[in-house]
Formats: sequence, structure tokens, C-alpha cells
Amino acid sequence: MSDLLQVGPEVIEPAALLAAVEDPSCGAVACFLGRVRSPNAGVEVRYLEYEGYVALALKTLSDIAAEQRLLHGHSRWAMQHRLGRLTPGEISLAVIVATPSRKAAFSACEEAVEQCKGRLPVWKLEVTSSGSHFVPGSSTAASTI
Amino acid sequence: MTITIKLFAQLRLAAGSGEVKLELPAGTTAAEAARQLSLTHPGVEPKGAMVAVNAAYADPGTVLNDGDTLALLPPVAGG
Repeated sequence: MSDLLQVGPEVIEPAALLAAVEDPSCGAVACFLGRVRSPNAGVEVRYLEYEGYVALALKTLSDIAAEQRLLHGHSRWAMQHRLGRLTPGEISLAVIVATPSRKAAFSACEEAVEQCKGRLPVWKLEVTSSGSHFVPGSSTAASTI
Repeated sequence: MTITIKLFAQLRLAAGSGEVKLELPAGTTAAEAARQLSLTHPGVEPKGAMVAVNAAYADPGTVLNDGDTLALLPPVAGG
């Protein structure tokens, strides 16, 4: 079974990702879409500039799908993180999973989103009307220097 | 040996480049390579960064080999 995993500048097309998890044995599909938010913490966001370590991000997405498959059994995955400049409302992250039944789909989708937030080597520069800063992140994926 | 160091976000800006090559003695660890980078590129502060060796998360004590790619990863913030 092959998962659709993508990290790069391509626009996220939910319909294409949903088509990628089609499987007659999977009666449930859970879908999470993360979009650029504005205002954030009360400040109007002009855009986010995402950068990533693509090779490691793809490997991490593959690891996350494999881990969730061990936990929840048969599942089909489509996960995509967009890089580059995104304006408010644009989709930055999609996590879509198909499983035989709904409980596994909801759980696996939520857990995979949390893993993506904590482990994907992606960074975002938030640009507002008053300046720019890298959004604080997580260092739980590995030991630090 | 020659090591390629990939840098992201704040570390990339501090180094002025997303990729730096360093000549290092055999047996150098990832953490030692990062420290060496901070000497050749003042302003690069790798403390608190995670590391990846050849596109896999790794322990900072990992011994590097000639031709390896070391990535220094600030706290990640995807999504």
C-alpha cells in the first residue's frame, strides 16, 4: 500500500489528497487542514514564510504513517506540508487518513497532526505589519546540542 | 574529512548561508562539528539545536564520517 506524502511549494488540493486514500475496505476518512491564521496573538499577519528540510520531512511523514499503522491497523494516508510564502487562509498542512471504521480514523488523524507539529523539520517566519519573527517551536523530536 | 552542514531558520540567517562545508578531523562528532561552525561563523549559536545526519534525526554524540551531511535544526514549528 502506498501513502501520498509531499513537502514542497505545491498548493495543497484536498480533493486530490482525498482521491489518494480511496480504498473500498476503508469506510471512514478523517481530514485535517491547517490554514494560516490572522490575526495571531492579536496581531495581523501579512504572510508566513515556511522553510523545511525536505528529505528529513518526507522521512518523518513516512515514519508517522508507519507508527500510526502499527497503532490503528490498516490505513491509507495522504499528508502534505506546503513550503514558501503563504497568506492568511491558505492551507499549510493536510493530514488525511482512511481506515475501516471511524474511531480509528479520528484517533489516527489527531495523533498524526500532533506528531507533525512536534517532529516535522519545518520552520515559519511570521511577517506582520510591525515586523517579523520565527515562530517558537518544539525540540522533542531528538536530543539537542 | 569533509562535512556538509545544512542550516535552517535562525541558524541559516546567522551563517548567511543554508549550507557550509567544513574540513574536520576524523572522529569528530556532530556536536563538535557544530561547535567548530560557531567558531568559523561567529553569530551561529547551535546550542539547543537538534541534529540530523544524512537526513535522519541523530544524537549529537554521533561520530561523523567523510562526506556526511549534518543538519542543525532549531526548534521545529510546522503546521
